[in-house]
Amino acid sequence: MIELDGVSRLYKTVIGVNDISLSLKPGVYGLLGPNGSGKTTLINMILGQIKPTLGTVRLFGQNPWRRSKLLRRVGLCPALEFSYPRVSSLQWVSYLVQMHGFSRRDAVVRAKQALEMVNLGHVMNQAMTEYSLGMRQRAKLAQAIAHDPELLILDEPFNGLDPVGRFEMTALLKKWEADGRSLVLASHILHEVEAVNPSFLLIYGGRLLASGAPDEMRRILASSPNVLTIKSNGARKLAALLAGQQAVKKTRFIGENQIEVETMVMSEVLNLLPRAVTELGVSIDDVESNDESLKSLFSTLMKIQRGELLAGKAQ
Amino acid sequence: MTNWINGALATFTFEVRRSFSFHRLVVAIGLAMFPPVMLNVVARIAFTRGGRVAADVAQYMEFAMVFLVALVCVLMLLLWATPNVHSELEGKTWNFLVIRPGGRIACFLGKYLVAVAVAFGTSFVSLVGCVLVAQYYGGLEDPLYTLACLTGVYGLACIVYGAIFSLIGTIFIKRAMVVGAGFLIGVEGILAALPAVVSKFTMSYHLRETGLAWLGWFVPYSEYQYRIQFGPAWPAWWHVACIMLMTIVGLCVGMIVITSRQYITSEE
Repeated sequence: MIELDGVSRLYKTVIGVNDISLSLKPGVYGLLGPNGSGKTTLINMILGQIKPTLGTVRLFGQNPWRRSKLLRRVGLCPALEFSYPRVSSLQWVSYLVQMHGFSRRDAVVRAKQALEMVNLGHVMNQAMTEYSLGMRQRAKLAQAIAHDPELLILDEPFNGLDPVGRFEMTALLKKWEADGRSLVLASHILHEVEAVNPSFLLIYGGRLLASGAPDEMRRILASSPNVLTIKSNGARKLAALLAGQQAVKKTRFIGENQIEVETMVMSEVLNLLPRAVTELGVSIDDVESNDESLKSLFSTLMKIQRGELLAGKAQ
Repeated sequence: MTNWINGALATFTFEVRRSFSFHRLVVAIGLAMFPPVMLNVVARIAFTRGGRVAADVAQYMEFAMVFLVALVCVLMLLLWATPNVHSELEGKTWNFLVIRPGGRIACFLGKYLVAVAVAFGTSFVSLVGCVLVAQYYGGLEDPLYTLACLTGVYGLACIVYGAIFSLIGTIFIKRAMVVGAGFLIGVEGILAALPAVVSKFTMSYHLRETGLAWLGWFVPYSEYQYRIQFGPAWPAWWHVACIMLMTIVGLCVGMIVITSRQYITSEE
């Protein structure tokens, strides 16, 4: 479906994408990377919107640059926030479907179906400027699926969605997957991508750090250190308890009532907290994973890349 | 090809619908009314004084009308045709359009059609107002014929300048309007007024000649002097053919540029 061979893209002296080679068969993929890691550049190259400086890109077996007919088979939901004053989502989606060569009547029917699918049916005649961020996000998804593409590419689709919206979006993507259609989901938040159980592509600094099945990623994740910030009125007692545990790598005081705990096994630390409350009589006010696991994952992968860690034996 | 046409028509319909706002309507009407109001003011002052002044004004009324409406026409085209790519990049809507088959060309042609339609509509309203004013002061012999001829000339002007400004919009993203205005002043203003062969490559020369062929002599100096400077008259069809050729060249080059360039939105 998508093949990249030694693909690099330079923006003057800045490297957007650095020597990426991969071959993706039809399926569900999670393109993970922090902001500015090259995800959007990679998507734009796959869709033939920009040319690689080096290397070759193939989409459905063809070079996508100036072959816009290929785009009939693809739906893209870009990360960009846009605004069309006085335009309803029905007008906008119908217009974009018409651009695929559908007649006005067919386009309206498809647009209505797509908007119903993303739960915007009841507001499809309202101006999009009156929509919340989450509703606009769903309208963007509707324009991507309305022409019934084989491959759906979503760039940060969960941006601006509330928990209910996230749940609905995940359910929709799972249904898309269950229908046997392909999906590339680009995000910088791991658990959002994990929800649709894709094969992972991890990109950082324009480089593809790792790729593989969900189990492989979980194995790498399990060996990545996590950092927890705990707020407690008995921070010193808590630190003393945690310092003696094998799962805890490091503890550090941030303030009078706050400690930072670095651990390889977060669940063990979390299991200790109720014991601390009952045995030490301290209260736990807040527990926060401030590295969002993805950061630690990338940090581990970068160490593997630099040869500081052996793959699969990260500590 | 079918997709281009469908897409261009869809873009045209969408853009016209979304652009139709009270604010824009007021701006368009304000611009359209500028030439008739100016013409009326000048004529009123002149005819109040009477005598020689009034006779001169009546003589040049047709020329003043052509000049004022031409300003409205190119200004509207400058406003609507040049930001064709920039407005989409700035509004971050570019990516949604260009990921459609033939989306870039459909967007280019659709926006060109909108620019031509808006500029022509405004120019026509302006022209009708001017003809009515000129007729009131007795400056026109056959107002309907003048209106028909000038409608044709402004139609051609919208078509050709729309194509040129659309092309400029695809090449110069950030300063398209400045470049467009520079082109108008430098090429279509100064270069077209030079008594040299190079002036024949400008569209204002061909439009002026078409107007002279259809409307008769309306330029405020002698035909003899003009012909010495700009050469003999050619038939109108020749000038129309040159204008159409330039339109086709402008649109084709624009389509090549828009499909070949790698436009990147500011956020990316």
